[in-house]
Amino acid sequence: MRYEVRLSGSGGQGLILAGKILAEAAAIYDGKNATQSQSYGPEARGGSSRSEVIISDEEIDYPKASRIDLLLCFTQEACDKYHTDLKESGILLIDSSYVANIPHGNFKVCSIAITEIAEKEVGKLLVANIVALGIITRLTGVVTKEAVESAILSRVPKGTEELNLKAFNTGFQKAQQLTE
Amino acid sequence: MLLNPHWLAYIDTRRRTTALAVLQTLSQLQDKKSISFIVIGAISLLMKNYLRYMVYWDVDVLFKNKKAFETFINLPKPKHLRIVDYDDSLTISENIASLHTAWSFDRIWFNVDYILRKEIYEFYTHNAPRLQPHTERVTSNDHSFDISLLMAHPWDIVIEKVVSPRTEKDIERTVDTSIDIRHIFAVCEIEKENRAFWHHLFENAHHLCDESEFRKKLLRILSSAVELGYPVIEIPSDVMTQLKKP
Repeated sequence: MRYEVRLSGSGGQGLILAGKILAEAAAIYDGKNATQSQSYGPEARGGSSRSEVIISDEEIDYPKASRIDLLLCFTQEACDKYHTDLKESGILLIDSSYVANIPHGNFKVCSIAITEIAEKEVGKLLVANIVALGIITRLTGVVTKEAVESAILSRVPKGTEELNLKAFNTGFQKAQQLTE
Repeated sequence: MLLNPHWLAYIDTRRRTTALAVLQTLSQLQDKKSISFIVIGAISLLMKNYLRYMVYWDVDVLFKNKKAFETFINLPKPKHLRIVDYDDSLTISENIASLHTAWSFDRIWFNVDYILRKEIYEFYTHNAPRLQPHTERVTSNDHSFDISLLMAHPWDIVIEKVVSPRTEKDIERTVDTSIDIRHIFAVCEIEKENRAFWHHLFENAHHLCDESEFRKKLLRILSSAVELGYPVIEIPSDVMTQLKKP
């Protein structure tokens, strides 16, 4: 099993960190193989940000993503640009707070107001990336909930553990409601 | 189980051998007499025992200039080493150029980021004649790895991170997950009673910015501890007086 995730949006949305946490959950806590990259093409100079994570039960022969299983888009620009990289029956996860025009294709669309949830339900806009991690964890099942929680706790200072775990669990529950 | 060196315990077991092979290869590629690159960032803080947690580490390599970078790219490397570029090419923005790569000897990948940033390179190497390589022989899974790498001084890393515009933005937005802020707190907590540490910061900050500006920024970071989720660092009163000096 090889699973490819791309997190895309703009700088300052915490996507690189979210990618690292996802890779750490898989590699350190779930005992899988994982690679994580942050890649900037010439187009990235305008402030766009992209992180890719590959998770596999086997060793990873090539560390770059090519057929995306799940694409998270935090901006319309990222959605327009990357949705064609999704594999058939892949998942397009969009933050409906920022992405209004949903593209069509042979993929599933999951539209959730991630940033709004972070701000209104968790109480801090900046944890939108962690809310997204909760959603991804539930939607994909590619990493365990416990592994992601452990990875989050390894990344955040003691004083904000509760807030970040709340963000993660809120995202997890939102995705659970969608899939029920 | 206690590991020697202790920092090895914070690299996950699956990637430990690859990490050591990467560090050994970089050691072999680094000309100690005519420096053209140094290792900076988290991995150097880890190897100096300042960071004590397990994350997905990578290696940041800072080059002297573009020529040094190109020379490095073309240097002969171990036959079984595969290097994949994540970026299409060297990405150049205002004051930094970077290329993200992944290194592998055995299909376990370890990220190595190449960075070009002239003023930061000059800062980290301003005392180059006194820079000593970090040298140790590490054994893992019955293999020995010889590491001898010129790395940024950990206290200089604190200075660079304190004055970084990225840190300033993170402080303004109260980004509790900021990696730079975490490193600053980690080093300051360990060195808080060490006058030589504070003296080093105050004496060397001027290489990157005005010293009073540096003190102001550092004070702001340390004062934001609770807001950012860190315990307050108990700084000696004389150091605090210096920090607050206009």
